[in-house]
Amino acid sequence: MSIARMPPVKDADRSIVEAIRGGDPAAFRQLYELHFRRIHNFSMRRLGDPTEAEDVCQEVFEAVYSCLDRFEGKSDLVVWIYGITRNILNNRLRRRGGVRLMSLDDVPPEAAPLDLGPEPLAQARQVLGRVREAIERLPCEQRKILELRHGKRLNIRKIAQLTGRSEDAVKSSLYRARRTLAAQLPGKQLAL
Amino acid sequence: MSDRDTRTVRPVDARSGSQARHGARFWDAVEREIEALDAGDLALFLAADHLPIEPRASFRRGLRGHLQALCRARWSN
Repeated sequence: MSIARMPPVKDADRSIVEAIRGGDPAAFRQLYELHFRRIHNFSMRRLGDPTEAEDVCQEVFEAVYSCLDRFEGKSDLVVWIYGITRNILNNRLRRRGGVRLMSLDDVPPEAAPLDLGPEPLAQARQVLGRVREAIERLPCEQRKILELRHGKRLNIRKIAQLTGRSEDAVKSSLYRARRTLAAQLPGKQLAL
Repeated sequence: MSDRDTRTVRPVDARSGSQARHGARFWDAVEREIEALDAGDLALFLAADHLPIEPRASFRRGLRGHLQALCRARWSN
């Protein structure tokens, strides 16, 4: 089942959302501390610019907190926040007219947190390595289309033109690639 | 305090003021992002707090205070 279509609201999500709606400052801090670094670093990796990453981070949290009553529990809370983050990033990248991805190897050494031990970094590299391996195991055509869509951020029509396939065939390849990745990647732990 | 912390950046209060932009089109686009969920990208998002990138401590504190004020205003009415 797709994580986006899971019907029940997780108890933890429901309790934290209800507590924040009830004005509980501890619940607010919990949600902020749980997601701040993730949103900031994901944005930084996408944009490669600290000031822009902070802008995105602020905009995401403003959307979350000012519109929390829009959260209906159709997806996990973290997926809802991910959707907001992606939308804001996409808008910003569209205005910028391009994408600049940073790889782990491009991160300057001075950006490393003082208290980061080898274990979290190793875990992150392991997750990223698994993502890359899973993509490399895809059939050639699916991998190529996935890279054009998510690496180059091309639209379906452009990919169809480049590959000489119909738009429906491109969409079908993307669907199959995503389904294969969902079955292999760490997100599976979240019932992807 | 690090160089990044003392660097000149916009304060939280001078940033986007984005609430007005979160209309129906914004939320429709969020729904589309969730519907088209990309498992690999979500995995990167979930793992991003382990990336060796350190957010500015002053920004983290400033944004927390800004949001607390937002919440108080939002749910005290």
